[in-house]
Amino acid sequence: MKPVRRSKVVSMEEAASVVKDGMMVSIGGNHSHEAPSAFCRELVRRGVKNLTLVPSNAAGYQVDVLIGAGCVGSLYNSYCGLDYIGAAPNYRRFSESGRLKVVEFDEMGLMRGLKASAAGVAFFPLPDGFLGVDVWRANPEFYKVIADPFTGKKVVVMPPIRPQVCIIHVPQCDMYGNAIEPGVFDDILHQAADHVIVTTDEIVPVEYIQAHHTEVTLIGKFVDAIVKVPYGAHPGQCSGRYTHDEDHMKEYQLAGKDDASFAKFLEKYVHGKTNEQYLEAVGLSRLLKLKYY
Amino acid sequence: MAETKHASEYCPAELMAAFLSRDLKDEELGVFGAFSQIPWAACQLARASHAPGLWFICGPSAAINSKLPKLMWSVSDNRMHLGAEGRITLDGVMDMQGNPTFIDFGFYGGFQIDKFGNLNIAYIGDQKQPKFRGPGTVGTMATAWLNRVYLFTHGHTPRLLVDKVDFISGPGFIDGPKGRENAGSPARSEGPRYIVTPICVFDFDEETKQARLKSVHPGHSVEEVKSRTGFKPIIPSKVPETEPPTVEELAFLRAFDPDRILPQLC
Repeated sequence: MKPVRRSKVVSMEEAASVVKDGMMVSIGGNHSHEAPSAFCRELVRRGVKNLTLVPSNAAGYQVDVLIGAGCVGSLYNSYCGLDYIGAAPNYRRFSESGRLKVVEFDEMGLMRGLKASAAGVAFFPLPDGFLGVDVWRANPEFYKVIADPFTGKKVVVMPPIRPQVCIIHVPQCDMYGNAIEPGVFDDILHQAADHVIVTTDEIVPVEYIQAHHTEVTLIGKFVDAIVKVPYGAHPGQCSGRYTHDEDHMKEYQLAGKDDASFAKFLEKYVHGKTNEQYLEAVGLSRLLKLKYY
Repeated sequence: MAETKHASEYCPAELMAAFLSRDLKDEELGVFGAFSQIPWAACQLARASHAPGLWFICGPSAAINSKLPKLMWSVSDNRMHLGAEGRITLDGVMDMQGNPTFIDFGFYGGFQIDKFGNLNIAYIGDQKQPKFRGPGTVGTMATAWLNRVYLFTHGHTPRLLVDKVDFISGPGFIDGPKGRENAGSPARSEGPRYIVTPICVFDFDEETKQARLKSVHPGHSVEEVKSRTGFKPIIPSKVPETEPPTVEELAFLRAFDPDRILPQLC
């Protein structure tokens, strides 16, 4: 009997059921681009509470939507915003009203905490000069100032950061989780978590990956579940497929101005809807306009 | 040699891009982040005019030497990979930034910049419940190490250009001439060179490391700069006009910006 290699492809519901209240969850993406936005909307539907979110160095919609839906207890924040469109409305509103605990990071500290976890080392130093950056004063729990054992100079170090679940979106991967994507942070995220979920616009045959194996950025061995979600990065961009939906992002930003209007937004686009129904609510004509070039 | 002809009609962002481009040298390597159309235009103008071997990394996509032929509103996205000569992950960019011999210059902005060239893009007030929550420090901490830093703004108000930032995301001279040294910044890293705004350019006094008015853009005055600046800049007895874009520079910038994004920035 010939053994069959296991496919990791599962349904959205099955993949999302792993995420429980109070968990530490990392979320990929670059600004609002190539982010697992459809998966985040599923977490909103499921009403998950009190998550500790560990986004990539620059987060946008994918994180803000979870904050606005009341899913987030604390946020390891390097950046949260909507790029040139302006502030991430829920992030700003919830932190200014004290409803969101923001744990202060910069992108190097966050990166190196995840690297420490991926590499299994006790801590990771930051370069000389970091004492001039106020982040270590605002987050002394993570940024520790110690004496360099070799020179005696002060050095800022970062402990391992280990999310329980990691969620990443890619344009394409095979059924074993090998993925090709140009993201700059997702590679470290997928190496630094206990359970990795990849959502993808397309599942390609393993032969495609084999023909492009030097371009693979996520190694399937680290991946636990794959969910196929067409337009899964909307309203962000997905490399080579569609660009971001500026009109929707502006509608989103406006809706985040207060609780009542954001609740209406979630009713219109998220609650009680499958991904297909979400895309219908956005509209086919809009989706067809999101040309990459 | 023919006399240089300057353009007469241009927008502030075009002048800023032209000014910055002239300071970039052939074979150098620079970085910029999201919402950086002025730095992007400056790098491309430098490559077209005097620095054909300039290297630049668009931080968010980490695309190296993007050939994307026109400015876009989103500088954060992967379309920057069009025609790029390579890519690097953020991890690699972080290693290059921390190593003070590698990256020559970077461009940074924030919602507060002070007289010592410190930058705040994190928050104002109590960290647990801030009066104002900005996006976060993100990559601005690199001003602690990069060989030189260009600060740029899309506006010029007393709220933006303040006496002292409420939080240092990107260190300039911190609190004076010894600030960077005391914080351990590498000696080779000169810190901020200019603050380039839509109405003027500041550099920094060699002794005190405080912002000094270097030039005022045509159509603006020293008095206007004083009234719109929240810190007290050092003002030399003679303040020249900033050199406007040349006809050639402007022609390049217009061709690179067919959607006319630059006039909408400032």
